[in-house]
Amino acid sequence: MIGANTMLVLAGCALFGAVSGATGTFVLARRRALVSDVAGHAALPGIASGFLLGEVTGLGGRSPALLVLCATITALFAALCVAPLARLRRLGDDGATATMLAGSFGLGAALLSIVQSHASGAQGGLQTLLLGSAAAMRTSDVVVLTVLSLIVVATLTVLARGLAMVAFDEEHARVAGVPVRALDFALIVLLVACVVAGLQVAGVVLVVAFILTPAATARLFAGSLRVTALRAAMLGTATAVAGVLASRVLPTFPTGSAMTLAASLVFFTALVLHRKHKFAERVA
Amino acid sequence: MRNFSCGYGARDADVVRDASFTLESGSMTALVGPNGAGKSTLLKGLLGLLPVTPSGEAQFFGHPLAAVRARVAFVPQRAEIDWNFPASALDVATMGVAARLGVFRRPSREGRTTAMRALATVGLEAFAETQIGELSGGQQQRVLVARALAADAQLLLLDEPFANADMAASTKLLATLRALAHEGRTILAVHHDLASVRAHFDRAIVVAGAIAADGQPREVLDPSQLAKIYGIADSPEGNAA
Repeated sequence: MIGANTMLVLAGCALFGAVSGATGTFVLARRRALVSDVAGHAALPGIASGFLLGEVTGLGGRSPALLVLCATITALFAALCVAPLARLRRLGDDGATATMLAGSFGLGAALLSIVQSHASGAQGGLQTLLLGSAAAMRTSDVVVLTVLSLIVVATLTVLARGLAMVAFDEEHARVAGVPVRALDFALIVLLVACVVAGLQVAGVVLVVAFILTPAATARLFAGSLRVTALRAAMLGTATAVAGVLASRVLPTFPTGSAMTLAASLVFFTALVLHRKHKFAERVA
Repeated sequence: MRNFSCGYGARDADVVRDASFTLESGSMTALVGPNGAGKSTLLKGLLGLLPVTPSGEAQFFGHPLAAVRARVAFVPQRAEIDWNFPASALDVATMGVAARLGVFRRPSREGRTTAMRALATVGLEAFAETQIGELSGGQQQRVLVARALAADAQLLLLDEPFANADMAASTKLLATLRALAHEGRTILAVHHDLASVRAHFDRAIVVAGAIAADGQPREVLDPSQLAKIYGIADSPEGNAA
């Protein structure tokens, strides 16, 4: 029996799965996969400082708008720092990514401990943002997710060709006069939008799975970037729905983890099938 | 191009100094020189692809690059591309059309025809729908040339297009480039195989920190010159053109 609340959670998660899968395809193609992890972890200091800011200004520590705004700012800042850091200090992409990820998560953990000592027990709601609490989704959350999804999908549709050119061959794109920096910036903004939208669904740690796992699965099969993005969107929706239903059947199972597990399961199944198929092709 | 210098860092550490040359339209020119001499750097510097702004002047068809981008195409080393990227040969060729028309315009049916024609020119029309990761190395290189053709570029700058190509692939690519030159397009390619440069190119520019020699391949690439440049090039700057 599926109640109204489950329907709501299903709708929200399905939508988020689709949008983050599509965005993730472009992120993966641009080889910025781990930037989504940076953005996710960097949302934590934003949430904590949003809470503190709310307490100090008297808006209340759990003002959703303030939390989302602060999470967006810190996630965007950290994500945008990765590329210049990689260039500037000769750290390389992975070094810069790791540094930003660890740094921002450390800051988030420190701020969270201040929150904990500051307002007596008031941080209960914040803890759920670590791993998400899709089951607690409200109508207003789904409305916000819907609006955000429409914006992200519309932007991706317009930018798809340019994003594909830059991801495939940045130097060629630059010679051709494609606005590489602007497109990279737009992609990071879309990515951060997905991450912030996904905090409620999956939390700062697991949100990366929604963005990357369906995209990675979709990449196993042939097709253009556009087709791959559509495929990733469908996979994202399917695994999100499967996860929500699984956590209904097994109530001790958190929805975010169930969805992540479903996505990983699909990925590994597809990987095995893909290998078998390739092997069969070679033998035939 | 006059007194062109470029590199990756401080001005005094320029990889290539005071290079000057002009290319004839419809000609095939090879950039040759020892490893690390700055051939690729020179090519990228000309195209504004280096992190440090070069000094000197580079003009394309009498204009700065920004004014004539549609007529210039860069063909990178095959190794610099991730061939697992989800795209077919036709998708890549279509990127050339987008390079000319702008990325925010939807390529028309005509654009698709242009991309198909470009693939046909490099002999890959049968592979249009093939995923690029499944093409051979030589075919991948020719897809990149097709992309430049789909953009209708008049000047093609190729970074080591013959790297790791076997004889059949090299021969095919050379024939394609020669056909393009006959159409009036200008080819500038970084090339390592001096015998091939002698046999197939109109001109050779030898780069070794600066332009060490420039002229007919047969004259420029004679043994004594080569010994000087490749073997014991103590001060190649002295020969700057």
